Amino acid sequence: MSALTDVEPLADATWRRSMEATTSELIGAGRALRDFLDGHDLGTRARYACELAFEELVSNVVHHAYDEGGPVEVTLVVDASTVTLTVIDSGRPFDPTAHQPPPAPADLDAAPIGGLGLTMVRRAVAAMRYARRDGINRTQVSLPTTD
Amino acid sequence: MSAADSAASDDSARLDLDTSGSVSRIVLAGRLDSAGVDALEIRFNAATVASGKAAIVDLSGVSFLASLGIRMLLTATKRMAASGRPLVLHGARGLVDEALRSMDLYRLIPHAANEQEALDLAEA
Repeated sequence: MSALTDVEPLADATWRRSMEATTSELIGAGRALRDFLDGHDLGTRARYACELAFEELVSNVVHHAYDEGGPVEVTLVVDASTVTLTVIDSGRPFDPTAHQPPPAPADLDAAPIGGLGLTMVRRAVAAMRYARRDGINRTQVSLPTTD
Repeated sequence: MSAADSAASDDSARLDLDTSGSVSRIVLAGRLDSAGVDALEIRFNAATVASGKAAIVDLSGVSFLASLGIRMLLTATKRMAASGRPLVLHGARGLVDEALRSMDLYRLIPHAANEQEALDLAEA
């Protein structure tokens, strides 16, 4: 696949993965991300939020961005106070910051089966940003490194 | 997926099942994310929806819960409720318990404080 962004030298606290938007690639990248996070002293809640944001944002690309697959690039940067996760894809436009949590269902019968992932991420992170430029979706979330 | 990716997994999803009583006892553990649900969903549905029994699900060993894991639990609960059989959760801890509470799932899926209360609810 072609890179979605120019490849820059990585700092020690940067993890980057370019992959195809498939479930198997998501699973493999998730394991590699957890290995990377093992080397950083994040708070329990911060680490959980990182893994959740990765899982949900990349899963959205896998299931909704493309008709027949395409590239996705994920970068995670850990500095002294903040973790920043950026997900880039060239699929159909999708602004997750415009996502509104679904209304609380009246009962089990009325409960939707899906659509919870973005709500979970919005609650777990401190900030979410989105931009689309030149056919590229760029979604970024950030959160403190400590709980 | 590279060999290194596969070797890095040490928290994979697991399912244990006890069908000896009138209520199926299911123990889930590990990560209920894309990998976990991909690995367990067929067995979980067989143990719940297709079993013909009520079920209790112990989540005390679940370390991570993504929306796909919630979808798996919610789908089974809805399908079992449609045939008059309860699915009762118990044992969720820490951030997994917090996720279930914050997403209002405990209002929709029966849950209990411990295994005995879960069995009582399932048999009621």
